[in-house]
Amino acid sequence: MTIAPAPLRMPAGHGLFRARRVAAELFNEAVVLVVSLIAASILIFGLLAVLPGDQAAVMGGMDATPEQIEALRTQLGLDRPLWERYLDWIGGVLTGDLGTSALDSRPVAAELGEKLQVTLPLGILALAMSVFIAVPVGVIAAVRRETTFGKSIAALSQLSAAIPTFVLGLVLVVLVALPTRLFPVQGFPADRWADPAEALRALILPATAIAIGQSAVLVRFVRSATIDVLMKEWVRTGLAQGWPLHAVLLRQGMRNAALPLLGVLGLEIAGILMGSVIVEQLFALPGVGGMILADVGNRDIVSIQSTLFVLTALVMICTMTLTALSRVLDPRIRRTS
Amino acid sequence: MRKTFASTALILGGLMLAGCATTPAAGTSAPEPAAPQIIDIRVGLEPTSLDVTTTSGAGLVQVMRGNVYEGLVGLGEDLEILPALASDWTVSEDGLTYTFTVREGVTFHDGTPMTIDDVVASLQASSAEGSMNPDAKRMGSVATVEATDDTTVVITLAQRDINLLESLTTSAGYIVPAASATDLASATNGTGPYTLDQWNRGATLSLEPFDEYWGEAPLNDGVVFHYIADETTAATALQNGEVDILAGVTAETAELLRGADEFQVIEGDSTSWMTLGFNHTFAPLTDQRVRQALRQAIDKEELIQVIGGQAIEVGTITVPTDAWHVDATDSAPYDPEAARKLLAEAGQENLNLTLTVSNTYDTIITEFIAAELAEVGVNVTIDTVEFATWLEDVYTNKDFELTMVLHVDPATITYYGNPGYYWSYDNAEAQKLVADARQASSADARDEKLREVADLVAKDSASDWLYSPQTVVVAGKGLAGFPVDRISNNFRVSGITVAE
Repeated sequence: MTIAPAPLRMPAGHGLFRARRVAAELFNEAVVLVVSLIAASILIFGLLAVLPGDQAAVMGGMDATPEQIEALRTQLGLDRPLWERYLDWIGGVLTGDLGTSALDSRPVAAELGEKLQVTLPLGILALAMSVFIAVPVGVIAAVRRETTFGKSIAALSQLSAAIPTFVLGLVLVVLVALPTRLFPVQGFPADRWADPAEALRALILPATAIAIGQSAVLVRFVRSATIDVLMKEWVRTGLAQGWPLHAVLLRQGMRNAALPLLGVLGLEIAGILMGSVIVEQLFALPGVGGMILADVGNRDIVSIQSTLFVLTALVMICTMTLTALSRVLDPRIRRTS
Repeated sequence: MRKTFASTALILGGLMLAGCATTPAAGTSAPEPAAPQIIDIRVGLEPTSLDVTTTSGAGLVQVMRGNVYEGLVGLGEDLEILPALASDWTVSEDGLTYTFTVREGVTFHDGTPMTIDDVVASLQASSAEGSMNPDAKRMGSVATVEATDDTTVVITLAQRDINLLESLTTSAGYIVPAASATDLASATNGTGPYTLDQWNRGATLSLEPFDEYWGEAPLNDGVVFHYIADETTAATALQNGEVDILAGVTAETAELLRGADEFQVIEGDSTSWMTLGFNHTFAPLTDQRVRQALRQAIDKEELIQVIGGQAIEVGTITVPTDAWHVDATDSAPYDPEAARKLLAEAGQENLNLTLTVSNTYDTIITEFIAAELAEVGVNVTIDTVEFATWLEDVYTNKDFELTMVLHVDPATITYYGNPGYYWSYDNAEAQKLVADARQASSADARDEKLREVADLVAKDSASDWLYSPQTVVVAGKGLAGFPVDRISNNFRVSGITVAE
């Protein structure tokens, strides 16, 4: 009886095996994404369908006669059954047609594209600023957590997280924009990024207003992630070998601390989007937030549906990419199902 | 809470400005108009679409009327009828035939010359049965519109209509090309002194002078309307020099900027009424005594103070600048005791009412009303809804008890003659008076009838008219030539200039 040598098992997370695992992860994520998007589309459509107020009534305003409003309803197709309107819309979205605003007959895609030129840079700027503020501050607060300085940073971050964004915006306008006259207090160039410096100037204050609040939240995550790392035995080992603390933190600590932060960043993106609605209103920026507010007021249902759907998809894709990324980066996180 | 923050910021801003103002030009000589410049104006409401032939709304009227689109006649700031695309007109003795001499050499913004066919087609479209024009109801008396030669248009009426000329200054009278490739929803094609430069949706709308305009060229190089929703942002934008004029501000902002040397704060007339509407099909409100009681329970003088003082008492659906104005402020004087007595007489000592209101108005107004009515034993529940919901529930479906809305149409008085209007106010006498007024043979005769309407609805307490808000315009010292009266529906910008 011969005993066959046990097959050599590759440890998980290496070579071909790892590549397949990544592919499987991505496939799983994609399935979840598609199912979530379908659910989101039904939810969005359903909520807007039960929203009181009618687009025909808004278009007619206080001047229209009941006959005019009835004619508008027919013209807008509001008298068709719900399921027909849903299929019509989702079919269009799947083929890349986001529909046409019934109010000014402009394609929603073009409108959204124009608005994203304001909101995306605003969001990216705010995200970058909050990370640049939060990471060093959080790490220092963790390393010096026993000192008064570290404790006051922790307290201060708690406090600034509680200040509403529009208050921060007003404070920036009064303390920075008016005295220095360096930044406009409202608006965005009508021809968008034709003059990048001018466009950027218009975004600095609004982005700062969002970033301060967001970074305050982020600081606490960075701080606790870093404290977590500092408690690890390998840090003690590194220190015992004579490495200076900053070297241990930079070479090994950061990669370990970064993993939970990736997940938090995914949530931050949704937070920044919400913050932009308020900030766009305050600084009169023609962005997606203002567009949704106006569309809801005007009951421009097609436009709201498509915009919300695109935003939902964007946030979901970002979050899932980040989750997938941290799974790939960290073999310790496994799918549980 | 938010208000407090906003005013703190404003005050801080004002202090900052006072502190750091470099006081340009020591000599305070009268500003002289310099080279034409672009004027930046903050207005409140953004249009939802640019199509004046189908879209209603004050935001659109403000931008377009007399600036981009014109009718055969135009409306001056003091409500006088001015020649526009018609150089002259005559009205027949019986008031049924209007003959207009149409101006020659008028060009549409797309470069095509305006012909008599365009004039006829535009007016036929807006007066046709089933027209989608927001002002179509003003054209009800029009029977035919015909061209008798290349420069003459004759409008024949089925019955007299003393308001026809004024109606022709609204969107029902605008002349647009009979056939054009321009999509009017997102572009413009009128005959006015300005043409659309760019509509940066959600932020600005700019107009540039139209080179081939038939009349006097604008004194400025164009205007930019800024749609800044936040009042504080608007005030700081003025202080930061980003806008030149704030067309309509709250009492708070006006008070703050009044003190600053570099701004002029001007009060203008407005034709609007903050109206407490009663549903005349809802049981206790069908009783005149109950309506009268509700009116007498609300102290209008105090209410005006509560909102900052920028309003006048009215007492009926006219304002002092109306030719048919009547002073009816004593038709329901503030008297809670009398109100309680009236309610007792009507057997309504424990009345519960719901006040449905759009969230566009300051909640302090409705809270004040509820508190005043509570004093006389009327329990008011305030139901705040979005404007779109209000339009559907209250305005279209008439499903309400009490409602409050700002009526801005100068012709609102005539709606008391329309039982189908959302109040369901059905009064044969009012209907006859309104019809007589429309068919009056002279403006004086019309005004006489409208005065009777105003008196009648006040006596009958058809609604309560809480106050008429005044418009306040704030502009830089160097600005001149800007309208201040009734600017929410007639805002001609071609005369505005700015000195360096």
